[in-house]
Amino acid sequence: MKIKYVLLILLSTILCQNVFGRADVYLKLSTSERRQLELGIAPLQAQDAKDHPEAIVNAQKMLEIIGDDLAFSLYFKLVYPPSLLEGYGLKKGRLDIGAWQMLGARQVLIPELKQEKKKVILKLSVFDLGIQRQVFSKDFEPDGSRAAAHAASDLIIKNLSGEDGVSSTKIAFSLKSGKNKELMLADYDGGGLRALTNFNSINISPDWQPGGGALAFVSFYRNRTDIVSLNLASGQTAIISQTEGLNTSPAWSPDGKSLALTLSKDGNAEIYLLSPETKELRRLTNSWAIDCSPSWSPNGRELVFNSDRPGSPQLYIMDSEGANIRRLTYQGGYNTSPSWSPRGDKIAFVSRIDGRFQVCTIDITGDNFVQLTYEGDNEDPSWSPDGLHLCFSSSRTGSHQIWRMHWDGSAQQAITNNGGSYMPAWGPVQ
Amino acid sequence: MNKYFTVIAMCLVLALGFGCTKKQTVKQEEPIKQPEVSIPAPVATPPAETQPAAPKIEFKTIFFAFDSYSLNEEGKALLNQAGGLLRSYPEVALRLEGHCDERGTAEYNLALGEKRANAVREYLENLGVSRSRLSTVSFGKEKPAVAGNDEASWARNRRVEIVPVAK
Repeated sequence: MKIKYVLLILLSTILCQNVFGRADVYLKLSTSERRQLELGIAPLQAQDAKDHPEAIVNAQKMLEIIGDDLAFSLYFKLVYPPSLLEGYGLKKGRLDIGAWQMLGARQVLIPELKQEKKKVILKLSVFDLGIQRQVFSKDFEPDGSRAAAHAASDLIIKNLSGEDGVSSTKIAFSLKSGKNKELMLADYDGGGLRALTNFNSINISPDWQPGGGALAFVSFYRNRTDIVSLNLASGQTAIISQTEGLNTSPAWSPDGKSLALTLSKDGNAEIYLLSPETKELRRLTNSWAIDCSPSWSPNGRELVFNSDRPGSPQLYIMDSEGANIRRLTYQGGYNTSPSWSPRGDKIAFVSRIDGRFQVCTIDITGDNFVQLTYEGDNEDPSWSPDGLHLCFSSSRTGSHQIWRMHWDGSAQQAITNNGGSYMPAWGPVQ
Repeated sequence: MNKYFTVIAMCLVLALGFGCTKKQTVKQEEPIKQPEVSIPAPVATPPAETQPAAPKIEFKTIFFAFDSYSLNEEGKALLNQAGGLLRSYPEVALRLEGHCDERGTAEYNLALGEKRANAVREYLENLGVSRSRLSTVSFGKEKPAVAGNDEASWARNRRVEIVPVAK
């Protein structure tokens, strides 16, 4: 009897695994490998601010941005009540714990506009339904600004998950205007767009200096390639590299002390390490073929780069001395534009598949080649600083836009609406 | 190197000075925290150099296959003609401008465009043209000759343009 029982359990376990195994993988791919917190979002309570309609409009605007930030962060599964009427999920002015538990929430974000002296403040607090107490509370100015909303999102993420959010990060990219391309800067969701350069020339390949104070990029302002640095606070520019031939694909090392770059001063495109402070230049590659597009491992010990030494462009990894070169990609005849994940385990790149260019990822072991995009041409992937998201350029709507998505290819979304947007670079947490 | 820095420093001063006269009310705030205020960065553009007049001879453009920098027979024949022409015009130097079609990675295409320009330079050198008369530059996929995203347009963009310049 007992043995039969054990067998039945074993059998059902095996069956369940077979039936649900796929579902598990699907879940993992469609959300994230991490556990998501079910966070209820209560409607704004604004009885106190009846005389301040502009504060209510601003607070609603901020809450919309905060909701988008928290949902995109991958740390939360947002739970909205079936009715957005003020007071829903409240009982006699207090949180209706039972109602929120019924909706599947484990914590609830409660936004309130409060009159304090002569000012109206937006109070955001989070109540944990399990331990039945408040776990977060902070007052914000309901000025309706995107920056304040993003800052609030990152504060909530930090307090509830312990992780650094990316809600306040920026994305730099290159925007075509006539025959020129100028560098632009936007919030990571495309808001707050502004021009960084007005060089009247082609400017491409922006790369963030660690810390986010400056960008290195390739400028054609002399009608050839030079690497220039732009200080974002002062707007001042400085020449980083102006050697004979190519000066392209700048990549700051994670410690900010050196810059990997592509030069052809010795005959053909090779990768070098430049210390901008000491002007010391060290050659890392030595091949008749094209070597370009270096990207650093997060610990600064290795670089992934692009080389056509096997006869077609493929990805290779070497250490930061230029030794121990190994080939990473073997699939297909065109793999370029590598970007090493800040988490260290994956490399995003572009692969030519059926004649189109697609963003893919591969483990640094060379396993798990995964295609993430399928429509149009998709190029220039760049990781978010937390390694959970990617931005890239895509032609799928007929013109090149900047898009963002999660690490597994889910939630793909355009963040620009001007055509001719290329080469995004996701900036650091500041 | 020093020479460059002097020039750049002068340009920066000029650019800043120009910027200031135009935009005296711009506040010195950190622009990154003020996304609403758009402050154009000072432009480090060198003063326009006066170029000597380019000689009035024309050279045919050399075309390439996708992801290739090998000269085909047609390209070689055109370069043989160019070599002959160069013997008659000893005062002419050439700027070889390598280009790619719009497909593929911009950074890789910059290197590929240079390989194409180098292939043309090496062929001309083998014909006896002095290297001092040949300079190369790559524009990658940044300056297409024709718009369009079909094979006919791409084929016309994978090219080396031979631009005569005064020696």
